[in-house]
Amino acid sequence: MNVDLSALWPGALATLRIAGGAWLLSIVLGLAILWIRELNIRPLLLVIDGFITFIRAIPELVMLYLVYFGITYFGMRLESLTAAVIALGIAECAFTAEYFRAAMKTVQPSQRMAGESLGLSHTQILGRIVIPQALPFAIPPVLNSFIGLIKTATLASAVGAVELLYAAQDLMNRTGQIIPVATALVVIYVVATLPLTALVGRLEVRARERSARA
Amino acid sequence: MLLPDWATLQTWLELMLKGLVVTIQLSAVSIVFTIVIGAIASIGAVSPRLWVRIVTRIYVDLFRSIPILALMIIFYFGFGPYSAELGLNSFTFAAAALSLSSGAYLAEVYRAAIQSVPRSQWRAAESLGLGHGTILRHAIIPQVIPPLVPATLNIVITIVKNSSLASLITVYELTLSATLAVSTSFMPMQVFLLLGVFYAAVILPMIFASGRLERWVNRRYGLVSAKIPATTTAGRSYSLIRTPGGAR
Repeated sequence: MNVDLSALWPGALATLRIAGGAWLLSIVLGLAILWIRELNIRPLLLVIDGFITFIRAIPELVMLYLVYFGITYFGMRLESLTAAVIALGIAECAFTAEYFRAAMKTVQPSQRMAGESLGLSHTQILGRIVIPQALPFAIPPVLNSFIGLIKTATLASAVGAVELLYAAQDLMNRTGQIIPVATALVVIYVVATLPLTALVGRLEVRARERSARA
Repeated sequence: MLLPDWATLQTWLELMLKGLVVTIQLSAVSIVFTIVIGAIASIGAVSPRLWVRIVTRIYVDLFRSIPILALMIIFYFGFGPYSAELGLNSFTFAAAALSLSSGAYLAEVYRAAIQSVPRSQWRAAESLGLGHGTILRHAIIPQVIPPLVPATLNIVITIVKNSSLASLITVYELTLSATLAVSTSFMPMQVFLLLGVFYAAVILPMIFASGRLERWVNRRYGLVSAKIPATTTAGRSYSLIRTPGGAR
């Protein structure tokens, strides 16, 4: 019996939307955390660090349940896809913030001081000195987090979002054809993630080489 | 209603403590297999034989690309009908998926560590007439084990977190016990917050331990550890070593 694998496509699109949405959200939140850290206000730093540590300690699935089911407590309801974007975006931002921080650390503090001695403002120092140099180091891990999110988007099936895994599961249930569907599923994930992984690897090597030359 | 009454809370705690035991069992089994698989695959990745390197490369790339949940579902649907004959159940499927997936990820971390040892050491050992296995066992591996402890602890954290996915293939672990508590009480917010507290209670000490171990390793083994993924963020590296998307 032949299986119509085209039933997987809408699911694949939903996966991309979840991963893409959560990725953008995590970058925005990561930048917000970076900005708060730059303010360097001690109580705020403690709150941010506590928030990040706590998020890291909680499974993404639990975060998703909290967002999707927990929000009913406030009399609201979210679509499963939206809930997945929010939950995964929040879970991811703890890591994104660390990637940004690590990238900023690659710029020597003496460069900031040099900027200050030239009379540049804080914004100018960040925008003209620190960020342009830190960016090549931030891009690979942040791309990497998109690859991870393509995989974590599978969790959205737990709250009924029809993403790739859900569509595949549904197809297995309806046709009973486990092996062809499972093979197609694996091939799609490999094709979606491996080339990106290779790209990230090359960008990392380039960033490291550039910093070695500098 | 903000808080559950005492009797409700007690039934929740009872359910979730039972689930916690299964979560710990599932994690423990998966951790052991992950470390074994990671160690074997990383040694395979630096093997002098080409076909061994190819086989490990295929394993590592394939299983890093498949989401853990997809792997669990494939095992569950694929072997489910024969589970009685094979003597398997959803616990074994979950453990297999967690170990195979995290093992592939850990293999990359271990391989990076082995390859961070300068080539000159290999050449020095070769000039003494030592074989590949002997060099690995006596010269290379002893150096990389201490700096790998925090990285391994981080994969342990990821495994405990990912074990919650087993609830979706009916393993009666912590997360499933919480959904059960929700279905009897209809207080999802309160139950899932409590669930978060349960996970945090297990994982937070490990996060702190891994951070401290990492600082210790950096002080003690600065040179070797510089090239090993410094995984301060639980389970994932943000250093500049290729660790695609983390284990998930």
